[in-house]
Amino acid sequence: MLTIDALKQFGADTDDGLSRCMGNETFYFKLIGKVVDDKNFKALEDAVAAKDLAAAFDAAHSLKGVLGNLALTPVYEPVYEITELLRARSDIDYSPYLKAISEKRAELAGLIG
Amino acid sequence: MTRILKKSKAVLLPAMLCLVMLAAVLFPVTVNASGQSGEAVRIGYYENEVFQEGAAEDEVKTGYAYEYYQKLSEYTGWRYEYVYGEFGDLYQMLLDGEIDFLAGLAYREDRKDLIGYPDAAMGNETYSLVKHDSDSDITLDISTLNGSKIGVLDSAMVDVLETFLKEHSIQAEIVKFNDYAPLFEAFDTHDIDVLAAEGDGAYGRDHAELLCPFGTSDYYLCVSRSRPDLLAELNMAQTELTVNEPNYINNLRNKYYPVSISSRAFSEAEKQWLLEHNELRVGYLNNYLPYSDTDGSGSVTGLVKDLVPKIVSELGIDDMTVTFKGYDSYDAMISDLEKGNIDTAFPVGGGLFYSEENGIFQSSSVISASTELVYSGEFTDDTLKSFAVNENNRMQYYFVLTYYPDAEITFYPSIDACLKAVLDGKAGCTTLNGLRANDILRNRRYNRLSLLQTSYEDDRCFGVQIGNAGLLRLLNRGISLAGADYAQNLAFRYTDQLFTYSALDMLRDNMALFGTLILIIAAVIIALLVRDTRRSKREITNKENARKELEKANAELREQQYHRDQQDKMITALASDYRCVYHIDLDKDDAVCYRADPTDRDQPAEGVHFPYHEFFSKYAENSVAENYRDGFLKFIDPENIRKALAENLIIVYRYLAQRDGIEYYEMIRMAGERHPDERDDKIVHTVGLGLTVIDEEMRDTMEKNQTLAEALDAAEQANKAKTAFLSSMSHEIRTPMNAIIGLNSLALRDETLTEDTREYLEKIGGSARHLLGLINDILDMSRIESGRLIIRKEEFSFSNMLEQINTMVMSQCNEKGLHYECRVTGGVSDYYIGDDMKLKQIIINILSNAIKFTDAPGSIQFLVERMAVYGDHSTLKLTIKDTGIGMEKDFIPKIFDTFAQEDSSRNNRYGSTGLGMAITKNIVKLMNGTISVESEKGKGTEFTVVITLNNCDHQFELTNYINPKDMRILVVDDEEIAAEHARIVLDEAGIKADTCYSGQEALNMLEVCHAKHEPYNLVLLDWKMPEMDGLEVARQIRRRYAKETTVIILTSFNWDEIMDDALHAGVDSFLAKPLFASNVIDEFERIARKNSMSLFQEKRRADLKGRRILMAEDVEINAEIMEQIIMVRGAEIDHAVNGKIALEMFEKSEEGYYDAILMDVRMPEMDGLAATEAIRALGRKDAKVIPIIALTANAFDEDVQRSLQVGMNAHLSKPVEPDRLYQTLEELIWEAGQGKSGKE
Repeated sequence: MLTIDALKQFGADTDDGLSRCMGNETFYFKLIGKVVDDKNFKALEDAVAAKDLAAAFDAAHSLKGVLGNLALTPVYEPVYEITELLRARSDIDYSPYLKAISEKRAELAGLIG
Repeated sequence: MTRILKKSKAVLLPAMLCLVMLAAVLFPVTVNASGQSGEAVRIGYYENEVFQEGAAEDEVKTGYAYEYYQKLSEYTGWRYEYVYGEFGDLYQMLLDGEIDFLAGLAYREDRKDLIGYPDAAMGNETYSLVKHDSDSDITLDISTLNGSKIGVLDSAMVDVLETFLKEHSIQAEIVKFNDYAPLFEAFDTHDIDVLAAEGDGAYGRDHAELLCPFGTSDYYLCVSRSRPDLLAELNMAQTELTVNEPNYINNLRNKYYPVSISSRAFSEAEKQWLLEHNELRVGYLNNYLPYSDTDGSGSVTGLVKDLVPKIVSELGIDDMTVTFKGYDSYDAMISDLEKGNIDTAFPVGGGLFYSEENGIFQSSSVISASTELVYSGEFTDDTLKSFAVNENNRMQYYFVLTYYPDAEITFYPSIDACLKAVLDGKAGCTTLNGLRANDILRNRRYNRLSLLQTSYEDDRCFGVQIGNAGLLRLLNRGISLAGADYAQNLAFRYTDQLFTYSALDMLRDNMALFGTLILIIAAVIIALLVRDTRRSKREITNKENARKELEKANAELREQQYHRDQQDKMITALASDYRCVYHIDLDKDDAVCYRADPTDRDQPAEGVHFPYHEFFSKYAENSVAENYRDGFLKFIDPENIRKALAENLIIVYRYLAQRDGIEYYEMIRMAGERHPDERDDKIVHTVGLGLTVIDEEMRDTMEKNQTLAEALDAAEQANKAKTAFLSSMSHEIRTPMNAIIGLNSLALRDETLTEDTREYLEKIGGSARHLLGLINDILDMSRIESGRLIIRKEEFSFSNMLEQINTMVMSQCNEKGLHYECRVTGGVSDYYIGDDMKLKQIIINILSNAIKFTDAPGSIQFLVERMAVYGDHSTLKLTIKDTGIGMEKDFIPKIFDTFAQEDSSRNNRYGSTGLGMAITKNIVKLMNGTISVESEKGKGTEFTVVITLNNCDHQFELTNYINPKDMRILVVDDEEIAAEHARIVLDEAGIKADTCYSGQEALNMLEVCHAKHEPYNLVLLDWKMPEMDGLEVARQIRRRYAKETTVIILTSFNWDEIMDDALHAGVDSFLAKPLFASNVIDEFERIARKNSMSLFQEKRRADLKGRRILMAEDVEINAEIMEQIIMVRGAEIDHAVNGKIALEMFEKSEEGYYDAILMDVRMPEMDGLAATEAIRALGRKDAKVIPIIALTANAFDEDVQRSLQVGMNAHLSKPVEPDRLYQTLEELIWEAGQGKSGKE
């Protein structure tokens, strides 16, 4: 069961996230449930694997926006980093970033139960 | 004597304060009192004559209570915030805790739990009963009050009255009134027999007679129940006050409510005396002006002559005959009084003890004056060992006996003899009454005597025989009725006579004048003698009338002939001034030579007629130098002559002439010849013409002019050079200084510095700032000297200014261990119109000076008082007093000179530019103020500045206070160090500043921030930058954005030469580099105020309720969040999943259906930029104006600019803050509704 306390412990800025959901916890939790299943996580991994950096950037950028909106800081941070690297189309090994993102996403999914 | 009935309001005194008041007309207004430090307390302030006056903002406050508040603040440090209103409202506010204090409340049981009473009263009030003077049924015998009707104000007085009546077992009817007006009316109409009133009670009523007092009541300064802390402080302060100044309350009461017996009815003793006497015999002392004397005709003079009749008339006993008798000796006068030969003696004095010894009563004091010691030479301990005393003035004797019991007394027959004895060294000193001393010593023979005022006041009174109480009371009553000032004012009418200026004195003073005068007198005497002789001659002539007339006619003829000869001679003599003289008939073009120049061969001979114009034209051709020729020809043109001579008596032309190969200066002069019969004719027909050689004079003058011109030129050059030098020097020095200060502050931010290095760097910084101060001073001085210093006239907050000064000075004083105090008294307003920056500079300069020259543990006092208000001006006096090292007398006049230092060795110790005081003086002068200084070596210095400021009726909104955290500043400077320094300095003051290094960059940043709806409030713009200089940037900014949003300050080393251009370009103000945060904030505030900027005011906004918003967003979660946010405000939102769909939805909608579009930028199919471009390109009206707001996670400036280029109005970065989104939407929708596009 998702709770504010659990999210706080996870490291989310729940005050900020809730304020954007006009204080409606149910709504907030519903959106978090959705974001965990966001297809862009997969799209990002696939695009990086296919070395399609432009597509990877689109996916990362999109994720960044959503995660920022919900103030899911621990997931947002690695997404933010990878977005900026992809924006510059840096030719580097993206796997540590993808790993971090996937770990935090899993952690979050675990909270939802 | 008629008196005017005062308004009922005017006589209200504290007792009425417990009245249930009628509904208030005015609602209480809160006003800040002044800018001292200390805790601010709110005090209710209602208008009440004498007790508490000036109950409105900016009115001068006076009164018993007001003075009491000020006294309290000496003990508590309270700063008062006056809340004005009617008593009733203020009382309610006190109950509600909305004010902390209210004065003048009486103690009542039912109130003691509602409000806080201090232990001690602030004053007390005597209540009296007043009856009609015609009412003989009621007398001083209190039992006569039985059955009477007593009117009383429904107040604390009622209880006191009831108690009084009960104690005396009196049955009277008490009628209560709600206000004074009906109470007085009831008394005036005899509805009530007796009036219970405050003070001496008659309130200026003629027909009222004071009967007796019936009680007293204390009144208090009450404290709100919610502030027990203030009550405790008040109790403490009152206790301290009682200990330190035990008589304070009494003195205050005497000052504001002097006791008088004037309105009481005559007592039995007085009536008895009047019954038995119809004559008042007054004895007075001779030779005692201004009190009394006998004049040359044997009549009384001095103030006694006026005072006694005045007393008689004030008492209304006009049938009393007054006789005077003068005495040379005091003893003789007192003896006659004892014998009953006179009724009263004046003046008597010297103390009550000796009066009793003499068997006389002393009346109350007619005049009280200090006694002055008169001595010769130096005042030493011996001076007071021996006194010369006038044996005919016992008052003096008694005085000396009382106060100098050990002194040896020698008697002299008169005061003049006493003074002479002191002058001759026979006695150490003598005394003179204070009113007499100055004028007596003005006499030339006493000009070697000096005066020393003693602290002993000596009263001068009427004396009556002991036992004669009736007359004594009459006199006392009369003195009181005449008023305390009456005799004092009268005295000055007579003091002049104490000073006689003898002919011999005058002669001594005016030796030179006398010599001349004697000559004149001699001349007049001779003239008179001659006139007398003529007179007798004429008498003889009369006898020989006929013959004389004939002779007279002959004589007249002879006289005329003589006159004519004289005139001819005179003309010849005058003509000799000319080389040649001609007479010209302009009408006939005929000239004739009257006087010829023998050296001029071309000239016609004397008496020969020749054609005028032809001759002189030829003369011009041959003899006048070429560059003067045209001028000469024009001058001799007949038309020109007629015209010029119509206005001038004489016309002149100077020119260079050439004759026989020699060049010399010559002048041609013409004067119109006017015949008596042509007087009305304005036109000149004939003229006299003369030629004169003026070579020598001309060359002289020209040489002098040349020299002067050269000197002027040189001076101007020098001045220009000086200005150029100062300006370039200050620039040249400031550039590296800027780098030093900037780099130094950067270096100091390194936390790894060793302690030594840090100390060195701090010292470098200190020295650099000092050097900068010196340069600024020099520049200021040069601005003053070249008249470039401008005094502004702008509204400013005086209290804010003081606060800033105090904060700064306080910390400096604390550092040095000095005590600092700033006091503001007497109606200084919060706001004035003037130049606060310059005023601040003046005050800080003087205060810094005081701090510099005062060593611990000294103190510095800064006093601000309002001296006068006239029209819309207020004159303020600023006094700055220190207990420092002071100055020698000789140095004081030099203190305002440039580079004046009393002692150059001290310069090193105290460090100074030597320009501070000179600048201060000059600024004060430019403000039309005055500055003066008093100082004593080793004691301290006191500066007094008096300036006049315009009053300011405008009160600023409190919201105009600028919080540095709200400010956004852009620093533009091509020098990275300078920009970085500015950023650091501002950062330390908690102000967010961005930097950029070129004009173009600045314009880009401004654009971005504008789009983000976070515009910069202030741009600090360097003047000299490559490519685009500060002026051009300012112009561009002004072209793009409204003036209300952004202030531009040009930063430079020196801006004197570009000031006009800069202001024209839209620059608001200037600041010298390197920047200091406080200056930036001050200057910004000033401009913001001046422009009445809407900077921190809310922009107009539209309500979002019922608005329809189109949103393009591809990510569902984001869309859901936005929907949630928007719906909360009651707006509808339509969701398009990409730009293409958004474009279609907008296209299909009715015109004006949507109020705004929220546009994600990155979207599949069609991104937000393309969609916006497409929407803007649609051929429908709303497509051009609908606000489109970009929403992206891309906060990069390029993206922002890109979105603006395609026609978006604003750019918000994700994650979106709801409030920011509301604000942006509301503002943009409101603007669009006004037919404006978002971009200004």
